[in-house]
Amino acid sequence: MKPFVFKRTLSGIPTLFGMTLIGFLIIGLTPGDPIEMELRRLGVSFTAEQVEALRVEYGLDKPLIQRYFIWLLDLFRLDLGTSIASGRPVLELFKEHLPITATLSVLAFVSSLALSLVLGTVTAVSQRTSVSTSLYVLTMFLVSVPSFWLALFLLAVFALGLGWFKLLHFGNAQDLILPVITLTLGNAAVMSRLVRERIIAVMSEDYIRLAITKGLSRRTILGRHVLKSILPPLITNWAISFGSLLGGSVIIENIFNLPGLGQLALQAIAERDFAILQAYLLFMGLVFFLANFAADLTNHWLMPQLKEDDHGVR
Amino acid sequence: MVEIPLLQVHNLTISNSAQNNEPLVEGVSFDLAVNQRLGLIGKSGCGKSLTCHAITGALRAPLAASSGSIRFQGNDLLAMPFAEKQQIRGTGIFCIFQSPGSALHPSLTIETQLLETARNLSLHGQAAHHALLQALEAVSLPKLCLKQYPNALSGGMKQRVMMAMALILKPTILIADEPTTGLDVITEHETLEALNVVQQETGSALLFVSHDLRIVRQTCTSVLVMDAGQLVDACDLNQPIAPDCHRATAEITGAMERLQL
Repeated sequence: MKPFVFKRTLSGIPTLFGMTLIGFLIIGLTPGDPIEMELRRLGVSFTAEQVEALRVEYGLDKPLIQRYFIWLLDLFRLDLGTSIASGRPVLELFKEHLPITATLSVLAFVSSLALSLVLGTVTAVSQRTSVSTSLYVLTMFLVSVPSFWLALFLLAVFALGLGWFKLLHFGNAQDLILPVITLTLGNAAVMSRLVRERIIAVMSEDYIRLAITKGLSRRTILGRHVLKSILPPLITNWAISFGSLLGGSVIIENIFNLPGLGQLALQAIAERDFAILQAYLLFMGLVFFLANFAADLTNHWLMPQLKEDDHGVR
Repeated sequence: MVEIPLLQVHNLTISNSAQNNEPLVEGVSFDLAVNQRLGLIGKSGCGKSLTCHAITGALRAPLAASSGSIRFQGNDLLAMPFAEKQQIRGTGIFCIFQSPGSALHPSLTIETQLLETARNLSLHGQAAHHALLQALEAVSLPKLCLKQYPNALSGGMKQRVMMAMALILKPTILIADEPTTGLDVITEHETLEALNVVQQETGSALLFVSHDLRIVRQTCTSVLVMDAGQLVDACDLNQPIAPDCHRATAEITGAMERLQL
């Protein structure tokens, strides 16, 4: 186990470096000067000298590569830079916006995981029954509709129509219900189809046939033999879906007017607020890396027959 | 008093419910008596395995037994609910499949997979462990295998693990569905030896499925011949095969003669 953890951690470092570098270059090369944009937004008149002075202040006068290494050095001191638009440290902004996004994503992730396992198992085990067919059609529908449509639909029905929720308001936990449902439904639909597919594939394996022939109970067959086989690919998929759930929350946060990281990032794109964007990119990369790392570790633990491969012996 | 055969397959027809094509197995009827060693041969794809799967209840949808009956000790298996069939599976009827490579669960140790079978007989703790070790010894597998996963074992060893399962279960009827397919001649010999041991130890009635008459001769006393989903011939293997046998039987014996087996 230990060499595996070590190897995986080491291989993650260059990936993260590469990602931040590419991200930095792309953001840096996009047209639009953040200083000028900010000044225009504020509606103040300015001279070329003033812009130049502000550029120097924010270190934007230096070449891109040099700026990257300055950013990297600051990163090691846990300094993510200062937002040009608000003048506040990025770390502070993150601390303020992260809790909402984290709560939203984790809740949606956990509930879609549970929902997808139930939906996937029901649609796989009871094939060709009316319940399973209608559930299957429903998941197909949820997979195909974009999340913003679902969000608007839920808002129209439950907030505008029934008046159960406040519209475009964020004050307490209740305001997270609709956003969580939106993210859960879309995500659970995609995941449940994979669960269904995997169960159907595994059920036709010879070892499941043997498990049946051995006279094992349905519970043991599903709970031990089938689950043990479907979990590894599902866990890998879950890790990726957690990342895309975070990404998807950008749209959802904006529709529901939630002051989360997604809203911060979207605003930063509009304002060319480099420091925030770069930090957001790093954060997303880190989440993806950690999620995949966790998935690999779990799989490693779940599939002990692969253990020997670590040491290169078979 | 006339003894009821252990297994009575009557007019068994298997078809694909998703397609309205001709049935894959049609009107198969045979009996298996206590202590009988019955062979079932035929060309690949003639419906031998499907017949076995119907008996063990391992047919996969959309395939299903559309008519006929399979009676085990007088009770129709096809009309039985899952829970009741579960009682018969394993200890009543057990099947050794043709591909030992894929028949064992890749992520469970041999011990877990053998223990599950022992639990079926309500054997726990010491007693279960004892049964496991005895079974391993009978099929000459080292104790070391218990802690291993199937991928660490050879094809022949995996097939002997299956035999060990049969030894633990002591089924009333043992079905061996081409147990030697894909094994080399030495392993094939070992597997057949192990099968012999199992039969002697458990006293099970044997239904031995193969496409190889040579192997069936070594293990069985009589043989059924299947062709294109139907039973076409039945031969007593203690006597030379009659010249007026069915075309399918003649084809098999003819091929064997040409190969000088």
